Amino acid sequence: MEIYLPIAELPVSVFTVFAMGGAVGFISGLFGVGGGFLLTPLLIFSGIPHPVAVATVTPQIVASSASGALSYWRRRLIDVKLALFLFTAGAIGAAFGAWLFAILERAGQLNLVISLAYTVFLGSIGTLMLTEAVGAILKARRARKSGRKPQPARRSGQHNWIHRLPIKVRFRQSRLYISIIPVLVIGGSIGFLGTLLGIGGGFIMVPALIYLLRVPTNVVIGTSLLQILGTMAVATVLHSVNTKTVDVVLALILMVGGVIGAQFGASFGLKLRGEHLRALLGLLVLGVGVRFLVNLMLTPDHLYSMTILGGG
Amino acid sequence: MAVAPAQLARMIGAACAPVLALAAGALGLAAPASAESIVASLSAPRVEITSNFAGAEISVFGVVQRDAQTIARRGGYQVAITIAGPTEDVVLRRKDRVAGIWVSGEAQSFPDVPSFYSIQSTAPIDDIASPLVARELKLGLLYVGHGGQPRGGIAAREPYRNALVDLKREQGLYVEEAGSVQFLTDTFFRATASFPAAVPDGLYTVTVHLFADQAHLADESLDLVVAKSGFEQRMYVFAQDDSLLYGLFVVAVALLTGWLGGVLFRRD
Repeated sequence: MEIYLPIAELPVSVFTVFAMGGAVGFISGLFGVGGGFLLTPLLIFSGIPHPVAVATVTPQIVASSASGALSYWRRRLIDVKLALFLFTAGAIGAAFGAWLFAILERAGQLNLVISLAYTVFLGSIGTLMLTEAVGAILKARRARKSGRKPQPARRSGQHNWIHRLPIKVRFRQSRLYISIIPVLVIGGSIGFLGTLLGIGGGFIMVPALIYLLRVPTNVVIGTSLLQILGTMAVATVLHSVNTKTVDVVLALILMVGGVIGAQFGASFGLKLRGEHLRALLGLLVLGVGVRFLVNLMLTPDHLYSMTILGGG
Repeated sequence: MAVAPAQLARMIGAACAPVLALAAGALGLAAPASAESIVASLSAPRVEITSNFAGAEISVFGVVQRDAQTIARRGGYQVAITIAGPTEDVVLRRKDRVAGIWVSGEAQSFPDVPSFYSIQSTAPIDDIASPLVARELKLGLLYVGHGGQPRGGIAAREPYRNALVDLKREQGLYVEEAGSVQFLTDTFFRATASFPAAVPDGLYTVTVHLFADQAHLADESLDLVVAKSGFEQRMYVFAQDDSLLYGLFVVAVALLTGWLGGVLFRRD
């Protein structure tokens, strides 16, 4: 069944889009990530124009993080104050992202920048994740062989250089007294990248909060979800105003598929070991990055690209 | 002598053809005065883009009308039908390989090219009309995309123009089909034009050009509207005109869907 997208101005197969939303939702439930970094490329590779794909994934991330944040809210596992600080910086970053997005689109370089950024960004994050997870798997195996209990991951209470920065603020729920500079930098850069690339950034936010700010693991996911929800809501509005490429029909199909898929993913994820999950996620992230690199390097079908600037 | 009038008509026609063509050029392409005229009609004056829109076909019908004094032309009539969509400004960029990666390089802009252009005819345009007339009437994809300032001369621009035509052709937005206009009787013709699903909306102009013995005899123009309708139309207008409100609306839809999902699949 084909359905015509009013903003993208082309028809798509409802089932294909629904299946994509569902598959990415499954993965996002499985790994506890938003899945924007998979959904945007999937849409791009299936022929949706880059600007529409990036801009339309933002409301889909709003929907998926809303249902996640709701469940953490009920369990009081969100540091609202920290999320607000992150969100404020994220909104400013999102404004920069949307501004650059519109400029690049007009200059005809948006596709290239998106592909390059995905390659570099996902390539490096994926490699890091994979190395860390494989290391953890090997360590656990060695520990099991030697009959000892595996050491828990190092989570020292020791302070690093980040904790020596000025302008400190107390975050009660996280039991932290830290400088707001790294908080704003993390929130701002993820808001910027997320808006530019159509990703929520949870897979960067969560490790950044844990390893850089030492936010307790029990509040980290809920806090990250709330901040992503806010930033992506701002990004949706900004994209709607700036480039007018948010397609509500496409977004709705993706949301419904994603919300359903996430439920199955979450229950499946409980059966897998943590480091195995992280290794799989790293492999997936790396794979998407490599796919973009291959696309950039292969000789294109057409040596010329066409951009329609609007009515003459 | 039954042949005499026909021969006479042909001689007059042949003698007049260059004059008519020049006159047409000078008069800004007003249809030349001739004994023939065309009455044409579309199978539908409107193409509606609805939620299940997957492209459309529109038939163009027409009849050649002669006044009482004119007799049938020996070689028969030839017809070319053009359909042109609203114009748009297009930029073509050449991809260059830089350090192993394909990046967008030099660009040429093409203002006011038709977003959709199809030309259908009874025979190849070269056989129907003289090159002069074909150029004056801009019959064919050869004449698309020549406006605007070329960057670095015509020769440098031509590959970009060809790429524009090729890309549009691949999307089904530019069509050139000889032999797809059929005469069902001596004077009654029909053609079917296809519009792909990604057809831009706006006002289209359907023009029927009538020829005989390479002479341009008459024109007839019809309007065709391609428009989104119902929900698609409302959403598009909403997104264009009240983009801030539309953005907030999309966020509300997302929050509602997420909340519903969270409530329906409550795990805790």
